[in-house]
Amino acid sequence: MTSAETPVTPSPEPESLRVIVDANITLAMFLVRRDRPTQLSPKRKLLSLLPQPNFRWLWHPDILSDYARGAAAIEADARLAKRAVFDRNGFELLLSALQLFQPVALSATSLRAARQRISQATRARDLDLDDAIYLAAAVDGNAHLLTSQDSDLLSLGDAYADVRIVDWRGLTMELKVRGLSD
Amino acid sequence: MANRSVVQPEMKTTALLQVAGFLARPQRFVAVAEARAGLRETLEQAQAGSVILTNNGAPAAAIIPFATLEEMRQTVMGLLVGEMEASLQRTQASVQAMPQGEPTSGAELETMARAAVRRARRPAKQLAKHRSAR
Repeated sequence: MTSAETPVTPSPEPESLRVIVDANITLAMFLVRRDRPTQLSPKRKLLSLLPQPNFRWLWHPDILSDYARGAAAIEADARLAKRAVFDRNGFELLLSALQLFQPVALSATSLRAARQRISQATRARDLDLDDAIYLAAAVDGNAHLLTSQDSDLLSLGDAYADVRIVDWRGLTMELKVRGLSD
Repeated sequence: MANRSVVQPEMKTTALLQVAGFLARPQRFVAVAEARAGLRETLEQAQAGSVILTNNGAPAAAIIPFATLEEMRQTVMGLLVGEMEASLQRTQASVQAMPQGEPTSGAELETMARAAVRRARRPAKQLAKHRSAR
């Protein structure tokens, strides 16, 4: 094989904003308030970015499982059901949309390191190693940002490895800087 | 947040037209053995329109340019996002037909959803703990 024929792994545009989105932000997009059905979560902004070539929502099967587990929990929550309806079809469409692109290839080393980081930072009582999959996927997926509403993840600091950890407000600011939002 | 389409229509139209334009081009049917013997030429032909590989005379696979595959991906993405918006509108309509729920706020809903997500994770963790103990 000549050098001209060397296979090139397709990759997104270098200027693409690559993000990992936690379950809380993802699921909030599909809640329709029963007292004000037209009042939507501002987080739905992320859906409009999905077709943009300079935005990439990274995923891994374990992350999708976490989203799905959370969705089932929300639907089963009686207190929530009095206040909101979960748009299940919309959520399933999102899962399909994310899977149009390849998942992050996760390494055991990254996952182990992420678990260790969370164990160091979190009180044993609140230890949630499920968060590690988000950190590890962010690292192995070369994400710019991990956006979360989870206090445990946010308590890790502003960054993990080369990935910035931001809340929703931080993400919206980054979107504005990159011209992806008004 | 206003209830409006989240997909830019012009972007969706452009992607759809590009994919439709490629699919409208003439297809070439080439036997697998023939394609294998002249692979470079087959790949060049695929730039002009899809090449259908046949196995014992039956269509078996298609070769399309990588750029076209990516356009198809973007097109499907646009359609899925559009359908998400339609699904939301159907859900809103069904909610409007329900008895009004308890008053709440976006922040309160998110807090409750966060608690539900956290509770959902516990059984998986307990299971892992149980497995490691065995």
